[in-house]
Amino acid sequence: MGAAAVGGLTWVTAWSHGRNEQRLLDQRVREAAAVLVTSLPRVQTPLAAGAELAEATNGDATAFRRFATPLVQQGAPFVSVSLWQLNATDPRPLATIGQPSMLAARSADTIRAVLNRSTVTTSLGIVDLLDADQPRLGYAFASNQAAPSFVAYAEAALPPDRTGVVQQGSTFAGLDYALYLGPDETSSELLIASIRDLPITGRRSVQSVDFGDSKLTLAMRPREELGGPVLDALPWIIAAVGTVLTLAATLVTERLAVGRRHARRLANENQKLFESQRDIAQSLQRSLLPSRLPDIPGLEIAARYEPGVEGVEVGGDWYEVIALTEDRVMVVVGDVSGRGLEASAAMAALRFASRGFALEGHEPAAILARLRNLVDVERDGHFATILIALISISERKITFANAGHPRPVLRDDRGTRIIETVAGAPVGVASAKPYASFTCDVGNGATLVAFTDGLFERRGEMVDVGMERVRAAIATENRSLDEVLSKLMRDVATRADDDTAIVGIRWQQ
Amino acid sequence: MAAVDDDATSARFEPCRDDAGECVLHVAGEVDLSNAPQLRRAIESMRVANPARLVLDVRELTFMDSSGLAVLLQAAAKLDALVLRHAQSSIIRLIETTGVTSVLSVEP
Repeated sequence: MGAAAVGGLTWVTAWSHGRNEQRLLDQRVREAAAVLVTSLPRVQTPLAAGAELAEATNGDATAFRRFATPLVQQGAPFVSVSLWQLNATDPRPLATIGQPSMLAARSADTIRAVLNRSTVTTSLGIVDLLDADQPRLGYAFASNQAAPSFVAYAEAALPPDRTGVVQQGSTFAGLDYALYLGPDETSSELLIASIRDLPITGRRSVQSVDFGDSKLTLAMRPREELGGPVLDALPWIIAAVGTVLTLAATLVTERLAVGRRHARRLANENQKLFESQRDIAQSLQRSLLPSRLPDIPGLEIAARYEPGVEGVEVGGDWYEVIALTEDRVMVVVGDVSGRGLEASAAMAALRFASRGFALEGHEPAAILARLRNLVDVERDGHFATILIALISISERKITFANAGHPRPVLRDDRGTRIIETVAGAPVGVASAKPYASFTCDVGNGATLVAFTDGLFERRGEMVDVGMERVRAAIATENRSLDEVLSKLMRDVATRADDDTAIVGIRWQQ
Repeated sequence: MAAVDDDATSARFEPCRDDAGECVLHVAGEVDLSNAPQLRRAIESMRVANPARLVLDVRELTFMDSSGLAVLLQAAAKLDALVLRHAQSSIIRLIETTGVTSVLSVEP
């Protein structure tokens, strides 16, 4: 998956030499295809979390319903989400949220085939429901555990006429496009197109990319000279595909538009391309982070995320603040090793799953134990360090569990100290040792700051020296929580090549 | 195998024999995202000779980020033992704070 994006980026550096229209067009199509693929985690991760939840609760329909309800609400990716049991002789959904599943109306053999297919792939099973009057795409996901028992399944609706709206006068108006499910331009497999006269002929470019266990094929043709900024077509394609596959791309689109305006002002063409590409990576990363923090009476909450500026690939840092009840808040900060789309997909899966388990009422150590199945360093080459803090506001208590993550810093009326949480193995690293919980009481006006290693890690330096730098900065900043985080970003985070995420929590006096 | 120098970050990966005659991979310099794949290849070629145990001499390793650590942890999962010999204190603390002391053995 990452290879497509990297290929596109490598191409960018060579672009200044001998550009021509065909290469520009190929470039656009390649970028668009890469962006389509990067949208997939946003479909896959909620289903992956749903599948894990079903395995953990032995297919509890109520738990699944509660988890999946937000996925079918307005603006959400799906019209129908359901939970299925594997190897049932008469397969029926255990729970259906939203509209009835179209899959349920198919023959038992078809359903069994779809469900079984999702158990043999580690990615998403793509289900072709394009022959219906109201065409849909189905997505099936089974847990990657050894013998899964359940499949989380969702359907997204396509517009019946399969025509994407082209905004007249916009910078997007210069390209015709057609998007198909599968490896080629088969007319019955059309997902969406800007024109009715298909297939697209003339000077055109076609690109196929992996999409779950299927493929997407994108064909494009310019209506005029391709002079403008190379990425002009992208927000429109994301928007169009967002409509079709309902991939909740609005946030990315908005941010891309901002990034494009910024890029235009830069004189150097190559610089412009690089900036825009980096912006895509950052936009995707940001779209996977919380768009806003919860409002919790009695607590002040702030967060920062800064991508490493040198790279153009997506990083794996994340944070999450979950309001469990009026008095209990869970903070999660994590870091998937490596970069690129796979790291980012693993991050998204961990983030959604930890959220699901937190809302189920599990304690921090139990959540870490359950996340272990989602990543495997032996298989994927990635591991994740995760710190979870469960905050009891009125009791002034914090319970921590730590999977190899940098320790947090706490400041209260007794001083500013590094909390010595016992580090268990990172998630994805096999270990017989269970995760331990650690609870501490906090004093008046306490401030908790949790972060990723990008904040303090320096070459050739002891971890402890960097941690002390963070502690000292927090100890000497007496202004608002927001100022504390700004100061950390400004004065402490000096490494340009790594992501940095920080979350701060302060008890209001 | 020849020593490999990386453009972005300076690191060397060199197989040698130690005093006891055991084949050891010398890892020197800084290992990060830019050269972690080279470390992976160097370790894989070592595993051909001995698929059960791998000793890395890391006395000259001054920095390793999570990408480098991921390579070691992935290799360790496939081996009976992965030993880091002569590790500097900054590397030992990295292993301790990341909670992987039970996976990577540190020898003086």
